[in-house]
Amino acid sequence: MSDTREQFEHVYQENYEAVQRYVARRVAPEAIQDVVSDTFLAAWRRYADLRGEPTPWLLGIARRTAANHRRSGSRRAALRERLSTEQRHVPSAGLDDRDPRLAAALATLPDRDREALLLVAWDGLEHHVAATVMGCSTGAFTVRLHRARRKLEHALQGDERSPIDVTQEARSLP
Amino acid sequence: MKPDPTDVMARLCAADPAHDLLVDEVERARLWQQIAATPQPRNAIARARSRLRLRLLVVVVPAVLVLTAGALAATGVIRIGAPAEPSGGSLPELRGGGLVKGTVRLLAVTTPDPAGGPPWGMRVLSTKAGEGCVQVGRLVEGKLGAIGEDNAFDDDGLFHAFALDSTFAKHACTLLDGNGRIFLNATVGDMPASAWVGYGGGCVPSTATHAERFTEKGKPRALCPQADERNLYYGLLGPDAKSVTYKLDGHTYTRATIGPEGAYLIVTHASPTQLFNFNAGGTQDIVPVDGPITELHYRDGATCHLSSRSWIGGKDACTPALKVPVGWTAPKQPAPTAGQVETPVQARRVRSASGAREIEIRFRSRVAIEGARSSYLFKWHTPGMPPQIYSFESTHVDIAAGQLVTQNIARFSPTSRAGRISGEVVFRDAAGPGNIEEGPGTVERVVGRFSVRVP
Repeated sequence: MSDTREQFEHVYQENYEAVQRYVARRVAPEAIQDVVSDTFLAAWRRYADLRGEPTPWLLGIARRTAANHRRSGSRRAALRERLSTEQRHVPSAGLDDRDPRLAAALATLPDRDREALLLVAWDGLEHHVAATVMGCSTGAFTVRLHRARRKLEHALQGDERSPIDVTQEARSLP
Repeated sequence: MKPDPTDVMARLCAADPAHDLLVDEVERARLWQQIAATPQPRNAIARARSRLRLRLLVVVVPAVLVLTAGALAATGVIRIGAPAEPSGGSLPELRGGGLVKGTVRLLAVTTPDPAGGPPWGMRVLSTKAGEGCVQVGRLVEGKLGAIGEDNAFDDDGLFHAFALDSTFAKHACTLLDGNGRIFLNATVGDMPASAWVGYGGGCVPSTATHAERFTEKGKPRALCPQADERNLYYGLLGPDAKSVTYKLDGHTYTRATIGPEGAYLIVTHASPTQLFNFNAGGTQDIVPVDGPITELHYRDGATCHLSSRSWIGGKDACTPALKVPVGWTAPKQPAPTAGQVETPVQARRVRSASGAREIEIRFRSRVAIEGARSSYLFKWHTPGMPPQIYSFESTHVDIAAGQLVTQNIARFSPTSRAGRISGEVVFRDAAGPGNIEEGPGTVERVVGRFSVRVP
């Protein structure tokens, strides 16, 4: 029992910062600590399920935890309302302030395309690690990442011409 | 105009909202105290111990194989080194996947490298999840592998064969068609000439973004010399294909496809000014995209002219439009109708084992879900969320017909806005060519809807 706890403490200490940053990028500030806590508590209960590297496994749990977490009072809600398109949850907390156009373009992407981009650009994961987080093969991940890059650039080009074009061009993509 | 994704990634990196985030050490210590006071399930401890014993076995066996391979090092233009596979490099058991034994086949395709040395080749395999994969790499003595250069394998100059179920062989996968054939076209850019994209070193292209230039631990990676970057365009066009036409450096070439798979493989130098920065990634589609191929020729005289929209891919990439690849056969089992999947969906508020409040969705599946072809998708709205916004979750396991499916979604708390959490369960089936996520032929059927009031 104590051996297992010691092993997990090592995993916890090594990955705490990475998990906190991952969560901070995807949920409202007031929800960060709750999601981080839920992630590590779930990981502790499921530690026996760990196969391979702990980091992608933990981020996979964090991803699901964050996705299930209710967001409240989010400024992103206002952004979503401005964009009349088939957009979904926008896991890009804080991006609105730093680069509003990028936030708007990112919001037009399907969730999985967006997550593929953020795992590489923000979380700095290698493709095979990010693929584990997303629960897909490395090949499928690289395909998704490549398409997501194209779609985002396309959406940004449209955004910088006219805000209305963003939705129209995003819809034209397969 | 084609976009330049490099700028997008740089812009994203610069906008990282957690860039300046500091760790709250007090909170970190408090959470660990909470975890340490939480008992772990007894069966979990037993499983963890048995896994530790298994790991010891796994470490010993590859070590013996490495020594044996070194002793048998062959001679020739390039010497043979140890097999390339490090730990954790085999095809994942995702959705019951993994290699189907006996399906790995080297194709009779050899394409010279622009700078010489061992040619490039390709092999195919099938997975238990019903997918077919194409792997590419350097070819030596009938084996696919990588070369110890470009910072890979300590630049030992030896040939390192890929394991049969390698994930570090550059590969692309798609669902098999109704005849068990693979129809797939892939483009890989900025690939090291070593053909190595896995652990144990290897360089990244000079065009890689800041985030891609560092390991997870923050250690800088070696940059590939521009002369050692390659673009690969490869695929399987099926038994009806005859040849492909492509343009390189102002010249037009037509090359016959190989074998009943209709295989082709083109290898070029990567250019620092090429439109797409792939960073050893790439794309795949039902027709060749983002590459020099301009025409696909078939035995019946038909020709697919890749249109100006070919960079987007899909059925519109060809003129005349290809609804499905020539020779592709639909799965023997057609996609179920809406009436065949519809079933009552029950939803209720529950508390998870950790005490969190969630919505539990339950329904009895009327159809079987096997492999990578189909899945259930859960979509839901929470109070205050605009109607066009939804959260989602999908199943990743096989499900038998008649099996009770239970999925917890939509965690909420006492501080959440009151109202109704409503959504639907959708059955997805890749009835057309391509994969369930990216394929143009994926159909969706509503299984049932749910709505639960949250206080």
